[in-house]
Amino acid sequence: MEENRQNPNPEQEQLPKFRGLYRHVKISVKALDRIIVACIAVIVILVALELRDPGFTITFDSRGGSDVAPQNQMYGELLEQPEPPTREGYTFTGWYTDAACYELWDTQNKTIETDMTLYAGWEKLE
Amino acid sequence: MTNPIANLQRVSADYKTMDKKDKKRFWTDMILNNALYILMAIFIIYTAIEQPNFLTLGSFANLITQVAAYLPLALGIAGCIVLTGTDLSAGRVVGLTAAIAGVFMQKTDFANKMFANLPAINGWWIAATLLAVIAIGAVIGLVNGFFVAKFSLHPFIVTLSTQLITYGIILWFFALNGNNGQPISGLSAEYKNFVGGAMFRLGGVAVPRYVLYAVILTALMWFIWNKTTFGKNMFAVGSNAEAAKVSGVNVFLTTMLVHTLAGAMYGYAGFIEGVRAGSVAASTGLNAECDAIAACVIGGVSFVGGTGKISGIILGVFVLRIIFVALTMLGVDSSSLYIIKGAIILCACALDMRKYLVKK
Amino acid sequence: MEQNTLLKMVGITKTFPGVKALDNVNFEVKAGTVHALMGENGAGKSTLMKCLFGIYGKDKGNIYLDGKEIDFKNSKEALDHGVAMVHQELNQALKRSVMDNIWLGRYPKIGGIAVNEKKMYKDTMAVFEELGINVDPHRIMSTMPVSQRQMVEIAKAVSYNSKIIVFDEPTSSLTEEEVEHLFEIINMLRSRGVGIVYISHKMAEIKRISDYITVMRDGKWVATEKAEDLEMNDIIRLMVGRELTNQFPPKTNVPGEVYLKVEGITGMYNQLKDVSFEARRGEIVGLAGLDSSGRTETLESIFGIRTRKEGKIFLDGKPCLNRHANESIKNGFALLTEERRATGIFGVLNIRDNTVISSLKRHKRFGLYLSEKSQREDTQRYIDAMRTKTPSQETKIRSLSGGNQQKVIIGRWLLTEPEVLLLDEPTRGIDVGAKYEIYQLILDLANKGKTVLMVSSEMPELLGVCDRIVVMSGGRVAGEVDARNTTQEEIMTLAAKYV
Repeated sequence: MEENRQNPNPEQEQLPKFRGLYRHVKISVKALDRIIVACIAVIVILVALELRDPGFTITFDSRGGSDVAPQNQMYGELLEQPEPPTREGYTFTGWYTDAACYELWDTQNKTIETDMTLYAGWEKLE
Repeated sequence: MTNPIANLQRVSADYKTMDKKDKKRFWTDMILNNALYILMAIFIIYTAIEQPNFLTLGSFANLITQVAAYLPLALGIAGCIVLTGTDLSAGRVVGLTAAIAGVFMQKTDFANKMFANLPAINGWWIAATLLAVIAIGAVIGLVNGFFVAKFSLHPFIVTLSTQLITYGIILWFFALNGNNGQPISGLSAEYKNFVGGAMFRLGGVAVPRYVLYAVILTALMWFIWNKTTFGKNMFAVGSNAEAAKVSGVNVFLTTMLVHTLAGAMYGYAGFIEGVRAGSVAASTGLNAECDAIAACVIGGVSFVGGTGKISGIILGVFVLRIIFVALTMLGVDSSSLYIIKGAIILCACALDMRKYLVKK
Repeated sequence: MEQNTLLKMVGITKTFPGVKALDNVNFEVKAGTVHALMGENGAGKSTLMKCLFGIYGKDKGNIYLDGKEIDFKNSKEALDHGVAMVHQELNQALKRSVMDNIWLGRYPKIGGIAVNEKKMYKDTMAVFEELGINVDPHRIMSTMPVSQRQMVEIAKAVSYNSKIIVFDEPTSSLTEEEVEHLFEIINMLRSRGVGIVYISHKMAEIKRISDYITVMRDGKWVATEKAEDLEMNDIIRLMVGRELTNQFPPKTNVPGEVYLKVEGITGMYNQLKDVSFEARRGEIVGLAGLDSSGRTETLESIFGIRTRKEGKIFLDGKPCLNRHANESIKNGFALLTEERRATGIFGVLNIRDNTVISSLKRHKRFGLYLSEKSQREDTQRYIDAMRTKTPSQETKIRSLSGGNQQKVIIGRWLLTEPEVLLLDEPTRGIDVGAKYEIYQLILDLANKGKTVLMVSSEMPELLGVCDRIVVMSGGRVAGEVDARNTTQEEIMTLAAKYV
């Protein structure tokens, strides 16, 4: 039987006071069980929903050029070579992962790992 | 408790003496306490059936590569969690150090180089850069630690501010020299090779050098945690700061050092991040601390403070990565992955708390 | 007067994995009596009460209240049935007012929505008047001392019209005067026909207040007797299960020359004022006084974890600064703190880590790493020397009993090879058998020429163990007495000098 006396002295000198995040948590094990079950349920439901339509969507932003249809690919697959878009007064330089057109997407070797948008690169005709 | 076989025998002997009600409780406890591992097992089995190339050497190589990338952050943050704190600034520190390392390591002949007059890239320059970014990370950690230790502020608040401040610095940095916020790309081949060069191949997938670095770092952290005065003091402070103070532990110094060490780890993580992603953007490292915290909590580094093992952290990172690799292969898109990640963190904390309450 | 039985617990059994915490325990409380429940730590007193309040589910047995069988799910349900508990650790909403706390969860309402503050105030005052408590119901809990908060807790129990009130170590944070008041209240409740269960370690109190005494040992019921039929030694014998001829070991230490000298310590943030005394080698000096008389602060100031405004400390004639704990340890001081759980143990760490934390330097090899082997040896040596009961060195310290925890912490300090030991309530919350061992340890240390300063609230302990007693009062030294030829009365008079 522990005697834990509360110190009524407010001028207790400063000591680091945060001892454990759960120190003052008042929650029953039952409630925690429910949270755990709920979390697992959310995960499972989300995964199940996703699996109805598996794969990643790759959208193409032709940035002023002709439209290119989005593709749906599985993880680790290559992009199907899309039809190059056309734009008046420009030549098409390839698909880029960023809108600023620095990082070229290597359609021959790079595999799909997530949803993404590819941006068309344009060079102005002289 | 150390011998798993004896432990199992003890549990089974206990089990035989239980009545029906206790048996039911035993199983609910068992299932709930291991919920995340069971979930992982289900995902593995399902993915293995759906995607034959999941259970291959190549995919294993992919997994350990990912673990090696996420491990340093988790090792750093774990120290803060042992002190019953946390570190929300980790991701942004990774972003900043990755950007700095990236700028120093751009190809000499790259057209959009941010700083034109940097020395040619050789071993010395790479080593100097590595030390520099580790030092930068450590300084930010030191600032965190100072405010936490000196003013007894909660680490949540302190590291939230450093997170924002660091992000501001990142945005500044990306606007330097007319760069206008563009990603830093054109990383030099020497740098890419030093960090991500293939050591060997597993099932056709290259295993990069940073896997080796991660192993070395893990060994180093294990040594620090278990074999040094600093490590013992860290656990003492995390377990009971006031008792530590009375026992002659320098609480101030220990807290500072834990955060500084964590910062140094983020610095290293930033160094390899650029190579991993191919380029560094202002958003690099965003939310990286969430993965690290989740891994720690899954691995038994409890928010109760004073508990945690290096082996647990490794396990935690593995579990989290396996779940994500499996889900990615199944084609779950990244927006859902965020929700799942959130649910996993909440679940892991609830589990941690449950274990704490049941033990009490 | 025929007293009818209010509460009856029959054949209560409760098993935790590996431990039989309660084994077929019987316990009954008659209306209008005070029934003391006694036993060493871990005897099962708390577990029995927790079974009553439904905090633990019992495995076997029945509980009857007024002849009807009951099985409470939680303490709220118990409270609604008139069974209340005044906890040793108060669970109160500290930022709320007194009356909020009393009526929490059952506020009187106007029209079912708004809280009827007026009625609440009136009802609170009625209860307070009845009990002779002088507290403003609007006062915020956190601004009141612990003793008054406890009174509020009692008032709450009374306001539920409780038939049974359980007091769990109620006097551990009360001054003598407050204890008197508490006893008046208990006497009044008794005369109103309330059945009272009184759990305490303090023999003198038990003898004074109780009508019946039930003693438990190792989860078993041992005896229930009328209080007047039991002598103090009988109770101890029943609790320990063996004859305890002496409460204190024989004094064998011989004080030598003056070693520690404290001059004019005045606190920066506390009430200490000009505290001076000296202690010899091999001498045990007691620090007596009421609560908040500055005993703890004196030890902590000497050890350097409280800031001194003025004052000097001399060790063997040489001044030493003791600015922080680390420096004090280097100077050969050791401090066993009063609140073991708050500032002593590292609950989640194992016994080895708890033992070596203050003497890690001993284990350092090549200035780099800590030798596991030498840590293990040191820990084992002190487990053996203190006869600490533990399954292994890897056991977490919080699973040990209070006495064994205390032994581990004493071991921690002995490993720093101290010359001056500052012991703050070394036997608090420790059962009778273990207390004797701690006394023996203290005497052994004095025999080896160490200087021991010991704070205790238990007067007989100070008289039995110390050579000299420094009495403190209101942050000052009120006087010094020789422990061999003084009386409790003399000490009490001195302790009240500056109050």
